[in-house]
Amino acid sequence: MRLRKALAVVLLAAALGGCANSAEVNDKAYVIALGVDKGSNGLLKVTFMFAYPSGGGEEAGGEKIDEKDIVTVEAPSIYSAMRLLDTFKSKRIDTNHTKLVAFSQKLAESRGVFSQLTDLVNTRGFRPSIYVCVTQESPSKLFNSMEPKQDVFIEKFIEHLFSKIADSGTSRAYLYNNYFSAVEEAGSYIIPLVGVTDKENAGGAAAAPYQKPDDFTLNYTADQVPLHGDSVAALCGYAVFVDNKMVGSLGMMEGTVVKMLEKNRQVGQFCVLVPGKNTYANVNLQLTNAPIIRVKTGDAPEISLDISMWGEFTGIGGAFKNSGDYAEFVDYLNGAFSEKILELLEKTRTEYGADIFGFGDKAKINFLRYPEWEAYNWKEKYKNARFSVKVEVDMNDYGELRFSQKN
Amino acid sequence: MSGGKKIGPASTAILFLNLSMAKYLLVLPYFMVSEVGNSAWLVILAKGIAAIGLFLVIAALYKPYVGLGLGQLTRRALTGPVGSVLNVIIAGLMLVRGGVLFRILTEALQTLETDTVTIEYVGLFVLLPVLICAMKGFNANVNASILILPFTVLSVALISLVLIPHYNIDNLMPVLGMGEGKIIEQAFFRLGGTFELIYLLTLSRSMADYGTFKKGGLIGVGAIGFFSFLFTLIYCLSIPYPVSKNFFFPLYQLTRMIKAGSFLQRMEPTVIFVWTGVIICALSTLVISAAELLKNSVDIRQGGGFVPILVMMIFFIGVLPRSELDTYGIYRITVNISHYFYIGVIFLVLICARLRKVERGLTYETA
Amino acid sequence: MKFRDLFFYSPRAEDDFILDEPSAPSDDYVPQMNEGGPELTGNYRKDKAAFDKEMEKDLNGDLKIREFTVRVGGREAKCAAYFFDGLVDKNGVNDFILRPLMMGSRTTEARSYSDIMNVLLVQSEVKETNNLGTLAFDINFGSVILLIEGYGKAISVDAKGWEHRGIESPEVEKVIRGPNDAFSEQLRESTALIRHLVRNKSLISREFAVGTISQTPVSLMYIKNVADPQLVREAERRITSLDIDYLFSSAELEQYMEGSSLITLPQFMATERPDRAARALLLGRAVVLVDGSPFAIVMPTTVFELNESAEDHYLRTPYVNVIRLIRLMAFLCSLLLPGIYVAVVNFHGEILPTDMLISIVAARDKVPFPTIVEIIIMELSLEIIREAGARVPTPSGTTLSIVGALILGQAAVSAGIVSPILIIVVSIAAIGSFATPNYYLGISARILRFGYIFLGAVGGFLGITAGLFVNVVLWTCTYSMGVPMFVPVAPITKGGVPKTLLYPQIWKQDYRDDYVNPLRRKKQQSARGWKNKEN
Repeated sequence: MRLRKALAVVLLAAALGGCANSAEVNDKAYVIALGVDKGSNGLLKVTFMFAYPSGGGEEAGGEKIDEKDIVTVEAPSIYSAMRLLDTFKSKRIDTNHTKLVAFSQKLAESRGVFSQLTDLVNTRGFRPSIYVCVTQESPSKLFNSMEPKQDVFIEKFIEHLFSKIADSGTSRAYLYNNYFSAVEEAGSYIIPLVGVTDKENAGGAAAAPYQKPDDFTLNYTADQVPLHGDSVAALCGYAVFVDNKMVGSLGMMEGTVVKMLEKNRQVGQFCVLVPGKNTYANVNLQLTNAPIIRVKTGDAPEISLDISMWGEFTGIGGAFKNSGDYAEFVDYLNGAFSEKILELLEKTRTEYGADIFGFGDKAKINFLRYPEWEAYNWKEKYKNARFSVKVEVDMNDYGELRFSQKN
Repeated sequence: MSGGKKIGPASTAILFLNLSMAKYLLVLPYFMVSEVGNSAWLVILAKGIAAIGLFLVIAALYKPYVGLGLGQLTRRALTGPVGSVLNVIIAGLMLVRGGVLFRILTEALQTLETDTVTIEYVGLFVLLPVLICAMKGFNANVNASILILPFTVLSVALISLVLIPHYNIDNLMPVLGMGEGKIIEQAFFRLGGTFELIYLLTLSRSMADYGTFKKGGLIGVGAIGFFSFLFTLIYCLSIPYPVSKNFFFPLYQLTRMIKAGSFLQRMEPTVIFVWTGVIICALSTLVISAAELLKNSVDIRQGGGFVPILVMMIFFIGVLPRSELDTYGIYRITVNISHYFYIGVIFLVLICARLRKVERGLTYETA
Repeated sequence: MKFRDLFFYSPRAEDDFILDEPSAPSDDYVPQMNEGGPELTGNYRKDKAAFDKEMEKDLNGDLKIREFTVRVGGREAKCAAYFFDGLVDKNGVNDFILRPLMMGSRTTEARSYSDIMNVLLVQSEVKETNNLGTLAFDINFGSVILLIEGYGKAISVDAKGWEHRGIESPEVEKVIRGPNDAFSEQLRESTALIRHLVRNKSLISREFAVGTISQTPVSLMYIKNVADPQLVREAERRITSLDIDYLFSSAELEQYMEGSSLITLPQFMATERPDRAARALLLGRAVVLVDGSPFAIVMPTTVFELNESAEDHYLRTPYVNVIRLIRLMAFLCSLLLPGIYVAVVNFHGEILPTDMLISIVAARDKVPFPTIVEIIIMELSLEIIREAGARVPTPSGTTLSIVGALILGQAAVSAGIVSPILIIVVSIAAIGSFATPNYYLGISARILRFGYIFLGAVGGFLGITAGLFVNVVLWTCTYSMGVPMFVPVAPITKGGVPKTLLYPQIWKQDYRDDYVNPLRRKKQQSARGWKNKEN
């Protein structure tokens, strides 16, 4: 009997010991976004954006936006930054709800972000499915500039902003994909790039000069976006990493090509200057199926891309008079697209000398065993790669395009 | 203990599945991938076929002794202390297996909780149900397994469905992984499922007839082969090769990758919810079979007294600190020996039984 | 069950439901009611004195004795009629017992004593006996006892006629489509309601008197060539072996008969609907009715049947399946929701969407207590309101619900004692327990809920998993008359699982459940004859 009582006491003590682990939801401070910047003396400047509810229960459902709480600490690593934070924040830091990790371009260019990526993937608090981006300015500036107007919560704003590229199939925005490529593709990958325009300059001096509004030439980089509005953080293009260091960036048009290669069905709306006429045609393009990529391995790998798209006119502005014009335009589209893609591929190959689009994945199919693949040394061989691109656009002709034979 | 009603083929298969599922799905893909690279799924397929073949051979040999159980057969085939010692050794190996399962669960749960969870605390919540379930007997265990299994299958199905956007067929290339030599070595020279066989033979005491044994075992081996193949394939498909070597709990990593959307932000806690149940079930079956073996080796009728001791031993094996010889260290040693040891024991016992013409009837059990 | 038995369990003999070949029913065992007691001597004066003493004539105010003379064989014989005021129908006594004896015996000559029974007493149930005990039982059950000088025996004439509730519509198991009568406290009326529905000679109604003092009539009903004889024998054994002084209701009998009393799971199904009882009979179950109780006990039952409502059989297949799913969810909500809420708030904040988490944080920020205290306050006050609601007179009921639900809840939130989200959680759980068709199962969920709240607060999801596991193990080891409560799922029986998951169309339900081991397994075949081309 005494034994049973003792056992009961031990069990109860052990059971109640579990309570020590628990923490009420309102005893925690939730990090919504995390920024990593280059600090002084080789330290990291880590910026935390916390979400905390404003007003409380009564205003539930009201229009009041969450207030932001942005704190920056300098520390050797993300962990130590969190520990430092613990010393002056009254609540426990909880990173389970982190939505975004932003690296500054300065950090990416000088030190690279690989060690941070690894840290984040292997930390319990951060989930591999959070978004990653590189920001041209400091993360704290980025976070401060985020002022959602149409979202009630700041975390919704981030979700929406990034899901625009992520949900539609491009996985480049997710932490784990970048980590995978960082390990697998010998450190060549691309991360979405976010630019911040100063509010005063928005749509002003920093914006690129207004050129012919043809999507094929409109290749803004993130800081050039001619913004005319309050939102000053813009998601535009990609930061290119080679050997885990940022070496350059891809602009908006190049981003579209990335989308195509990433099997994103919705390619986008294009406003195309119809050749020979001074009018525009609006086309909406979709991939009919995933691009067929074939890689022939050898001393100089031959990479062929076969992209077939399906499109519809959303506006033709009186550009076409007859079916001949129409066929001509489709031919033009095919040519222009393949030219653009080839241009981009050649540019990245010569400029960065690295396979940032992950053609290596396709090259593996030529090998039976992993050691053979490793011995082949794709990274070196890619520098001599030859490309051939074939684009086929199939335009849907709706009622407006039924030309009468007389015309 | 395992008194009461005899179980049918479906229950046998489910029990078997539950025991194996815990280990096979939680850590097997990791072990395989680290050995043979991204062709682990091929290995599992081959291993499954080999295991079915092995099972059929042993089932045919074991036919006259269904209803007797390995523990008693050992005692009678190898008379006296030899049989007892063998039984105790097998029971010990079962406990090691239990300890490892417990350890795996603890670590899986530690990845779940944001703050550190003490192992005693997990031990209480896992081993107390194990104790109660094992005390309640074999039928209770079968029933609990039946009720948990659908959730397990559902969670695997859910994960594989949700992960479809992450599948990348390129991750399976190069198709032979680290080479065909490794595949053949893993698939046919390190036989899979030998432990499960021992376990099935031990439990055959509660099976009605040879038909149940064969059908249940076959469904069990087939199903676990299928599930582990499926799961390893999903793992290989979703995570590219050099990275996949780094994750100890494939299941956990895969669920972490899921962005479940707006209703549930994270899936891990709910999935682990199910898997904890599976491991509790597996542990209690292990405890019951170990108690059965011990009971047979010392000739007593009630095996219930062993249960608390066995549960405590599982706990102590599970909490060995990571110093010189930790839980996984012991497990690795036993795994290396036991592949051949188990097969050896089974064949030795079966041959001796045939030679000595052991009869099926019960002797001291009914006394 | 001892505490020790929770851990050291071995199935008892009666719990083992052996599925063997059906055998013929045992020899008809008719238990004798109230045998013994002194015999009548034949001497009128002595017998009358003895019967007066037996019935405590001086103490019992409601015992009426009417003494008169009756003319038999040409001479006057003294006669005494005993009855309890209120138990008999007075008009019947006057018109059909006293009038024929006092007046009729004079106009219609009664040549011998046997003519009294054969000619004079125009009653359906008349018997003669000389056992005082039997007489005492009969008089207590609404008979008039006649002692006639020189007759040698007493005559017991049935004249039941006490005031009682008539057949009304069911209180608990209301349905929209389907019959709307319910059992009443009258055993005879209840058995008649069942017999009216079954209309077959195979329906057997075994009668027992339970309770050495109360002698409560208990009726065990089954269908002879459907119900498993072993089930009948076991039910009979459990009823006849009861050594108790009194029994008033089927709820008591249920507790005397059930296998494990400490498990929260009810092991029998109680119904107040004759159609439900008749259906159970036709499916091979046994039904026990107790006089004075408007509820029949159906045995054996399973948890899946406990989750069935009376209306399920009257609804079309798609409706039933959806409703059953909702009901299951309601039960699980009632059982687990508060526990899961505590676990999530204390341990697993990460599974909530961020927006929802932020609103929970906002709501909880002002609350001074930890969640566990908060939820226990709410649950306790809810239980108090519920308990009070059962006691208050109907006119005050509305006031109670307004005070309880509106004012208290609103005030608790504004006072910052509880958070609004918690009130939602507690209310859903409470409503869920009402959506559970079986009253006992609902109470069971209410009690276990506290356990899950504790486990959730102590161990998060891990604690709840551990609790659920133990719960499942204990529940699956519970038997209802030897049938495991989770059959046909755990243990699996042939073809049972799909039927449990999805209720099939009525014309596809060809077989009776095999776990009740019916003598007739097939219920129907190709029920819809008009679908066959030949017809």
